[in-house]
Amino acid sequence: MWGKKSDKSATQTYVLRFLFLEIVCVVLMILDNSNKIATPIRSTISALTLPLVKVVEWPQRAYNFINSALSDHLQLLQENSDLKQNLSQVQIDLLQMEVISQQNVELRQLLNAKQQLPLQTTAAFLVNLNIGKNQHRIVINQGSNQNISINQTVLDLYGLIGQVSKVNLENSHVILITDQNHAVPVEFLRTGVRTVLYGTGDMNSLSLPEIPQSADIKVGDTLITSGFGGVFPRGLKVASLSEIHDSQGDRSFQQAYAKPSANLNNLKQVLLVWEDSNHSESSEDATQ
Amino acid sequence: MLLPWPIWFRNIQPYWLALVIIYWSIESPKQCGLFTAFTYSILLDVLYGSLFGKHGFSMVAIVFIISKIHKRLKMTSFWQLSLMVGALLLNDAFIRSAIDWLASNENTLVLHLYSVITSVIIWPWFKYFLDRLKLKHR
Repeated sequence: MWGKKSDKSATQTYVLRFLFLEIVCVVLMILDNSNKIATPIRSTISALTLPLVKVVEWPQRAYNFINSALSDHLQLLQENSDLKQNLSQVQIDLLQMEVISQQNVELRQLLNAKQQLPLQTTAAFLVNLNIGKNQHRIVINQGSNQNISINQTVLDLYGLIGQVSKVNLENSHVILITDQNHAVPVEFLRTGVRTVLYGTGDMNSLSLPEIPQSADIKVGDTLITSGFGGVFPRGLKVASLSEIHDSQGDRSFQQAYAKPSANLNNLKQVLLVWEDSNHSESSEDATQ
Repeated sequence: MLLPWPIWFRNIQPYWLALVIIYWSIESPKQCGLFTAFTYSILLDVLYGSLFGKHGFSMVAIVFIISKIHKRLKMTSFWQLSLMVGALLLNDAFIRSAIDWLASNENTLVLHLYSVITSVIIWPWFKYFLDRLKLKHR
């Protein structure tokens, strides 16, 4: 008799515990979806997972180290000469850029326009990829300890990569521009036509479904961020147009595809953009 | 996800944590209860950067179902157990795709089904290996 009773209450508490945990999960999911309160919880818990991440990374690091230690002398020489060639090319480009930026400053002074801010960036390294059909994410080795914040812009040397989507203590997740759920406000460098660039889930293709039929666009046009929406700073190179079709559904739009400028398939190092308040103050002074 | 698998394998790789939790909760339900499943799944969510509590929700459900039919599971044959594991994981895949669909309106069911298939294929070997390990350490 007694045994039966205690059995029953035990199953009852078990069911209650189950329901309690499920409700906790639902609450966490709702909090996380609204993207505000869950971030500190996430970053504290991520401290627990840090040793695991380090342990998993260790063999990879060891492999890289041994690989570089044993790599062929000839290969290194080849690489060195390639890099030197690259560098000289870049230096020539830079020289031209200097002239152009000087001209730009003069023109802006003539127009009395606001100074374009130089971008403040820091480098971060890729520690993991999370790329599947439905999501394109990467993990970088800087987190809330390095003051990384959500929505921070991420670049590589060739163009925009994406933005920070989740911040942990020592690493953070970056959503790539090619992710199905990602959109960037862009404009055409040549004509200034503004539109929105969507990810397709394919690493080499971005879609532009909303270009007005009247807009002047052609294959090869460069797309830069327009700075609308306030997430990305203006003027970062994003992609170049690769295909143009007539839209099947709505006749007032034409549909286009673009190829990302960033080297998304072979990322190793990325640049994080910082918005520096000191710079904006000094630029205001300059305009006065 | 943490391990450097090639990309094609990432999409179809078995749901390792679920396999471990299922084995553990069948063999020693005292040690692996709801809280254990919950804790490990939360850690998984942090590592994946996925929606917080998504894996927790489905994993707690798995352990709950296992504890309900625990006695029968212990009695069933090896192959029947594999089938049961398949059913549990299928249920889990449906739960997680439903969550994905509600939270971000993406259809991830097919993707989850791949990993259910590979998990079921790997389960017999997995169980055999862990049984051997258990005997060794007894």
